[in-house]
Amino acid sequence: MDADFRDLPDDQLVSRMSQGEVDALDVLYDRYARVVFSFAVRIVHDSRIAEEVLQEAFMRSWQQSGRFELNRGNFASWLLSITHNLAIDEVRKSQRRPQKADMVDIIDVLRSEVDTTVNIEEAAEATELRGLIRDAMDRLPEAQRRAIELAYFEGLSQREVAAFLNEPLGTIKTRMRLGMQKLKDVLSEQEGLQS
Amino acid sequence: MAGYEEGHISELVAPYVLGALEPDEVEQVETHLDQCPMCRELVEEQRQVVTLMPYLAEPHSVPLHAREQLLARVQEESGQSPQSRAHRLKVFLLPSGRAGWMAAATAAVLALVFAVNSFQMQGEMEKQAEEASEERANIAEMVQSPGGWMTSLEGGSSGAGGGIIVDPTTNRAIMVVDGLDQPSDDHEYVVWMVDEANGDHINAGELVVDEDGRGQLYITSSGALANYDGMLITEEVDQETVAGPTGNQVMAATFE
Repeated sequence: MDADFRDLPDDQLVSRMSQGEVDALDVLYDRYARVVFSFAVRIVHDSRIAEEVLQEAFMRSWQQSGRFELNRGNFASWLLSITHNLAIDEVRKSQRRPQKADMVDIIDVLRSEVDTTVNIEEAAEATELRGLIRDAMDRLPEAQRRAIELAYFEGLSQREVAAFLNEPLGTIKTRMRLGMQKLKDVLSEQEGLQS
Repeated sequence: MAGYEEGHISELVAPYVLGALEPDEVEQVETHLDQCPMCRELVEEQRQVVTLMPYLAEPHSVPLHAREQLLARVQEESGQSPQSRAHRLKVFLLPSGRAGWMAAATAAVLALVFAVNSFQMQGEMEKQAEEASEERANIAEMVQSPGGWMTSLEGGSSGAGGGIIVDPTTNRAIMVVDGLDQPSDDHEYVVWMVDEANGDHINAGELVVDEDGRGQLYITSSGALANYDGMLITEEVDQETVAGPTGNQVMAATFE
């Protein structure tokens, strides 16, 4: 692979992908495969399905790279949005119900051979972003955090969250609204919001 | 519509960006957004929060075959082939400055996998699984240490690569190699901690390499690991009786 590919910013790599450059996809995969896979595991609670989501998300980024517009957000946001949609679709297809994260078959993941070429710089960036959002989430009351997580990671609507938690719909709406507002405020204080 | 406030949809922005509205509500919100810059701005602000939420997921190691399958699919369109695993590892193990510890975290997971695979091959599943579990716990603790660092191993056969993850706070280290040829007949690879000032070499144990050239060694030191000048791997006849490195040097790493 041309070493220069590893120095290119995401938007230029996307442009190279749109010209059919597989190496550009390979570099973007190095940078984002881990966060995409981890995100998918968090939603679908199944490492094998998460692998399918991972592959499909990158496949779509490859196929749709010509239509990617930088002014609609950065590549990572776009890719993770694709991942979210695919993973939630999987959850709905399988009609899985919310599970705890510790039910993930982590050993199963560990037993397979690991891809070691996660991009180091991006891994560091992911760690930083992970710290920012976790800190912000930790500042939310548990009830607000739970409502937000059920909606985002489990793909439940407000009504479904209310039914799942056996709470009034109005209560869930309020928790979601206040929770998101608080997150925005905390992240703004940290200057953690990504442009 | 429910959720409107003074003609706006501020009440619905949070569930909208979280994907928690019913389809008919989404349609109503998007119709409103087409006409309302203020609400579009609110949505954009909260979308920025949502873009960070994927990072809440616990990090998981990515299975190697996922990349291979993806690139195989893409290859059908492009005709290009992916890089070899040995090349990938070599790139990964290059010294990496400030981000070195993150590389170490990934390498530690790699080491775990080596351990599990190695144990499977030896066929002593139950006993080895207990040891693997303990080792996993040790490594996980080590990876979380804030003061850790990593250095690469140089030398070895063509295509060989490796590195050492060091946690100086607990004086533990993990050595990981890949693509290393098997030792000569009746020989073993022995890892040494090098103390140049005193001319000492401390035997850190045998490095067992599998048929794919992969191996890992978990090292604990009674002394301060940071005081050593590096580590080296030599090929010896019997690692248990040899007092110092006498055989061929295979790979070496320097602690800076």
